Amino acid sequence: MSNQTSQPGSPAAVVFPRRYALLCALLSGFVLVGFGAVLHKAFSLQVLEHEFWLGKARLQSETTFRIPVYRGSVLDRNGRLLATSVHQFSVFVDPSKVPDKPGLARKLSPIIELPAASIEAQTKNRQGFTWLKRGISDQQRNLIERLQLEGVQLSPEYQRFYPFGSLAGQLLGFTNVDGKGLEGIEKLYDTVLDKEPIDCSQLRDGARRRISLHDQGSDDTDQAGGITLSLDAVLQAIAERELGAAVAAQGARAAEAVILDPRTMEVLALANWPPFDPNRYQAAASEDWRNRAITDLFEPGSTFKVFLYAAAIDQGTVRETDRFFCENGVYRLARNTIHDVHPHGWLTVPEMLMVSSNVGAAKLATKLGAGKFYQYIQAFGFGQKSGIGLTGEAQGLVRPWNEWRPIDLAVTGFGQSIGITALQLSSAVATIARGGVWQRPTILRRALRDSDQAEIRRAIQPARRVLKASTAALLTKWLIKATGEGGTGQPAVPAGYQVAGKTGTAQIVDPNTGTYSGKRYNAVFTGFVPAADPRLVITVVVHEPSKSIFGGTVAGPVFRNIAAEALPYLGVAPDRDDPNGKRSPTRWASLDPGAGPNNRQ
Amino acid sequence: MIRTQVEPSFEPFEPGARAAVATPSPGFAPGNETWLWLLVLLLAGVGTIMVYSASSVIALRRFNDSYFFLKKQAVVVAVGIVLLGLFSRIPYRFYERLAKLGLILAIASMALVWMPYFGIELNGARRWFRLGSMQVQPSEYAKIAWIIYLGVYCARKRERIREFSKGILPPLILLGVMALLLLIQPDFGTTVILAAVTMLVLLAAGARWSHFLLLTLLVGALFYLVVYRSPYRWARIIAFWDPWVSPLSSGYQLIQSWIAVGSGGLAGKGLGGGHQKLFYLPEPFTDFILAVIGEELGWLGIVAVACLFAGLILVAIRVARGAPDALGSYLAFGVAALFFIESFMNMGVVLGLLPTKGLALPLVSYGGSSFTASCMALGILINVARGTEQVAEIDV
Repeated sequence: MSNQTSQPGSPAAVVFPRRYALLCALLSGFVLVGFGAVLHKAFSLQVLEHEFWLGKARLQSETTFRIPVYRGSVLDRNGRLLATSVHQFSVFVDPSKVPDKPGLARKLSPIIELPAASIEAQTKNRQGFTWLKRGISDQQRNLIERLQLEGVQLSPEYQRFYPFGSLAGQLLGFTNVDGKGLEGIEKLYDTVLDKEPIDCSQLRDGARRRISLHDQGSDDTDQAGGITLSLDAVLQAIAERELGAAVAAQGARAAEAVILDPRTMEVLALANWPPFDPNRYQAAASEDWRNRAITDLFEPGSTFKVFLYAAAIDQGTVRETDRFFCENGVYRLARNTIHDVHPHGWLTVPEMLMVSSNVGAAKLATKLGAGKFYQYIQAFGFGQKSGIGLTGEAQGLVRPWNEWRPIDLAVTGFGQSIGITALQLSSAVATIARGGVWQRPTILRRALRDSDQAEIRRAIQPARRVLKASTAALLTKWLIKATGEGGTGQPAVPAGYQVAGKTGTAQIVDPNTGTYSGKRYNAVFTGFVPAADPRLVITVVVHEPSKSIFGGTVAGPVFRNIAAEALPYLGVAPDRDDPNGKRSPTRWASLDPGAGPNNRQ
Repeated sequence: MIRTQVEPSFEPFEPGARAAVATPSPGFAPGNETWLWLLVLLLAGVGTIMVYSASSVIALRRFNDSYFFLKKQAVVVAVGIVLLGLFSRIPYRFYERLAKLGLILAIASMALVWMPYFGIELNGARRWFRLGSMQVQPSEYAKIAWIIYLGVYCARKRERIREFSKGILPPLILLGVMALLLLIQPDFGTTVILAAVTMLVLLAAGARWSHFLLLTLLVGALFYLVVYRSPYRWARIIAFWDPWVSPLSSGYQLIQSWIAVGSGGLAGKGLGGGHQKLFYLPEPFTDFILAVIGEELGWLGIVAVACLFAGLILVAIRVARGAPDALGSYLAFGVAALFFIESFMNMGVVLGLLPTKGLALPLVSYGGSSFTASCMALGILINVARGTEQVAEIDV
C-alpha cells in the first residue's frame, strides 16, 4: 500500500489516499446496502404483509362496545309521557387503574352519596369493571369529571323515568337498571320498547382505555318509538285521588278502580291503592307492585245480581211483572240460611234488584237453573282472562256448573262462591251499557317500534252478543232505579247525570276457617254513566273498610266523585236537571270559552 | 390533532428542490454546504412534525398539553440550528488544540451521571444528569468529542498509525474507558456505535487490517461477555430473532413496531392518523419514531426519510473525499460514519433487522442532547465542506 505524503489542498490530502478512498467507497456501499435492506424490510412489512399487520393492529386497537339504546316511551291517550328514558351517566371504576383507593373513595363519597368505606370496598374487592353508581345527575357528572380521577370513568346510559311518579305505577311496571322491563306495561311491551343494542367500534389505546371522540355520541339512536296507551292520565289521577280519599276516610286496607269507555272498550284508568312509584321500585314492597285491578280476586257480592237478572230476563225465565216472596229476610235452604239486610215480603223483579234482596236472588237463580246461569256467567267473561294482555291477570274462579249444589247455585245468584277481578266486572257491566255485546277490553292504542317501522296495530278486539238488546235496555232501566230514590246505589249518582249501577257488599272468606268473616267486607260499586248514552263504565272496589261496610256508602261516593269530575272533563253534557232543583249546569266543557261553571247567571 | 394528510414530497435530488434553494446567480449548482443545510433542515422539519404527531396524545395525558413535547423540541431545534451555524464557522483546525480537553470533559461528564444529585436514573439506566431544568445525555456529546479526538489523533500520527503500541493502542485504551463508562450506565447501543466508528476511522487513516481483525476479535469477545452477563440484553437478542416467543415482554416492542409499520401500508394512514402511538409503541416519539413515520406516512415515508439520510451521508462522504487536509478528511469521514451507523442502527432496530436497542434517530427523534450533538457534528462537517469549496475555488 502506498504511503506517500500529501500536501494540504492536493486531491489526496490524507496519509494513505488509496486506503482512504477504499474506506469512503466502502462506507458509500454500506449506505446503499444498509438502507437498501431497510427499505426492503419495510417493503415486505408494509406492502407484502400489509394485510396481516393491519389485522393485528385492528385486533388490538379496535373494540366494539354497546352504545346505550333509547327505550321507547309510554304515553297516555293524549300524548302525556308516562314513562320515558332520560340520558344519564353512570360511574364505574376499574380497580386495577386506581392508584390511591382511599383517596378516591374519600373524594367520590360526598358526590355520589355513598359511604367512603363501601366505595373503597368496591375498588378493592373485585377485579376489573365495577359499577359505583348508576344514573347520576348532570351536576354529579360535572363534579366527577372535574376531579379527573384515575380509573374512574363515566358511561352514558338511559335511565327510566316516570314523570308522574306513582300515577298508574302498577300498570306501567318498571325496568331494571339495565333497561329490561320487569313488570306491567314495561314487561308486556318489552319487545316493542326495547331495541336491539347497537354495537359500535371504537379505538382502544395500549392501556386498554377507550378513546372517546366527542363527536361520537349516542344521540343518533332512534327515539321515535314507543307505545300509546288508551289510559287517560287525568282520569287515572282522579281515580287514584278518590281511592286514596276513600281509603283514608273508611280506614280500608286497599282499593282499586277501573274506568272503561264502553264504546271502544278502552281502559281509561286502572287505579290501585296503595300507590306505587316505579321510580323507586326497590323501596316499595313487592306486594305494592301488583296491579290489583287485574290480579286480585274478590267475591262480587250483590253486584253479581245484575248478571243473574240479565240471564233470567234474557232467557224469559221471569218477566218484569213477576213477583217473588222474599221471606221477610230469612230464607232457609237445606242447612243454610240466607239473610237480607232489610226484610222484604213480596217484591217485583225490578224491586228485588233495586233493594238488592239476597233471598230474591237466591230464588231467581234456583228458578233459572245452574246450566243456564253458568252459560251466561261464561258469556259475560267471568272465569277467564279478559284478554287485555296485561301480565299477571287472574282468570277468576268459577267452578263448573255440574259441581254446584243447590246452595251454591243460590249464593252464586248474589255473588258468593265465585271470584272475579275488577276488570272482569267492568267488562261485564260494559256489556249491558253496550246493548248486550261483550267485547274484549284493551289498554293499547298504538305501538311504534321505531320511526322506520310500521305502526304495530292493536289486535282486533273480539266481540260477542251476550244479551238481546231489549234485555240490556230493560236491565239499564232497572239499574237506573237501583241508583234512584230508595235504591242502594243512591250515593253513587253525581249531580246532573243518570247512573245505571249496582252496589255490592261482599263478605270475605277467612282463609283460616274457610267460612265467611263477619267483620271483613269488600265494598263494591259498578255502573255506567250517563245511563242513556254510556260514556264511562266505572267499577270501584274498596277492600275491608272499617268505618262503613256497604258498597253504597263506601264505594258509591267514589263512583260519584270520579264521574262528577270525569264527565265534564270529557265534555259530556248533563242529561237531567240538578236533583237539588238548581239550574242545570251548562255544557261548560264545550268549545265555547264563555261557558263555564263560574259563568252561571 | 393533525388531520391533514401530508404527502412526503421532499425528494432531495429533485431539480425542483434545487431551484428552491438556488441563489439568484443563474447556473449555480448547489455545493456540498448547501446540500447539507437543506438535508439537515428537511430532516429536522420531518422530525419536529413527527415528534408532534407521535407525542401529542401522550403529552395530553401526562401534562394536559398536547404541545408539550413539540414546544420543547422546537426550542431544541432552534438551539441546534444556532449551534450548527456556530460550529460551521469554527475553523476545524482549531480542534487540534482542544481535542484532548474535549475528551476529558466528555469522560468527566459521563461520570457525572453517577453523582448523587446530578444523575438521573430512568428505566433502570443512568444516562442523564441534570443541568438546571434540562436533562443532558453526556454520551451524545461524548460521541462528538470522540470523533474530534480520533480525527486529530490520526492526522497527527500520520504513518505511525500502522504501528500497534504507538499507533492504534492509545485510542483503543481510551475507547475501552469510554465503553466501560457507557456499559455501566448501561448503554450498549452507544458503545457499539463508538466501536464501529472507531474501527472505520482508524482503517480510513491507514491502520493495518490485521490490527482491525484483532480489534474485531476483541470486540466480539467483549460483546459475548457483556451480552451473556446481562439477562435483559440476551432476552432482547432472542426477541429480535423471534419476538413471538414472548409477545408481551421482550418481544413486545418489536411486535408493536412491526404492527405500526406494517399496518401503515404503502401510503400510510395519514399524518396524525396512526394508532400505535396510543400507548402501544413504547417510545413513539424517541427511539421508535420511524415506526410512527411508517404507520402514518407509509412505505413512501420511510423511503423519503431513508433517502434524506442516505443523501446526507453520501454528501458527507463527498466532503470527506474532497477535504483539503488529513484532519478535515478524518473529521468528515468520522461524522459520515457516525450518521450512517446511528441512522441505520435505529432503522434496523425499528424494522427488526437488528436487536432492540435504545437508540435515537439522529435529527428526527425527540431529545435535546441527541439533536444538538448531531448539529455540532454537522457544523464541523459543514466547516470542512467550506474549506473544500475554498480549495476548489483556488484550484480554478
